[in-house]
Amino acid sequence: MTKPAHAAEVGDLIVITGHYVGESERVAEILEVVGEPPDERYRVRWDDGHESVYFPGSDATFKHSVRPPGTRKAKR
Amino acid sequence: MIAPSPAQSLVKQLEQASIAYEFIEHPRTTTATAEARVLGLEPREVAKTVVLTTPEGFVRAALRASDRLDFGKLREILGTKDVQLATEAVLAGAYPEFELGAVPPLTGGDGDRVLLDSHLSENDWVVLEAGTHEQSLRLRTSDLIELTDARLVDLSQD
Repeated sequence: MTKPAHAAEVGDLIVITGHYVGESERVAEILEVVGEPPDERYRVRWDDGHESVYFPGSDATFKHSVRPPGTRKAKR
Repeated sequence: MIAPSPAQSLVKQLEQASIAYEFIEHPRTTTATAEARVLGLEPREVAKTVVLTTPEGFVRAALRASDRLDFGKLREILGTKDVQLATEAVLAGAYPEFELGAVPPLTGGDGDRVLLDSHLSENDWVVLEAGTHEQSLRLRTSDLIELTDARLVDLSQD
């Protein structure tokens, strides 16, 4: 259960993979980065619409969103 | 910032153990079924924790919001007939860091034994009160079992 190294930003996606076959993955969009490395947490909106603060585990992967140059939001 | 006490001690323990969690704020609820309702979840996805007194100390029993504790099974599991629900006065003295009725199965207390109803393990994730009636935590059921060193047993009424 080691914490993954990452540098996520607002707008990026967090994907939580299942631990076994058949377990569905969960996806959330980062709305806010809370805290400083290496102890960031993320205010996120999940694919079912609910919002929460998420502290990632080793099963979380980050997918950087693709934005036009100059439009990347600043980390809060 | 993320959370005032008492949830703060909970999330600190989770983060120290590198355990993933979700912290969810919601309107005040005083039952686990109501907590499930405001979160848009099924009652089976939310755990309620019942604190019991025994001659060997406190036991925290967690089961699905939709289930009822079976004291017959509980006494058999614990090997004693002297099992009682903790009164509010006892709870206030033993768990001053948590709101009354919002004791979670982890942190606080001193060496409490934790029992998890086996039905909880049917879900990959479980939501539980974060020591208050307005904040919840969602974590992997397997992480909850590991973190609390819980016994997985059949606690609920058939």
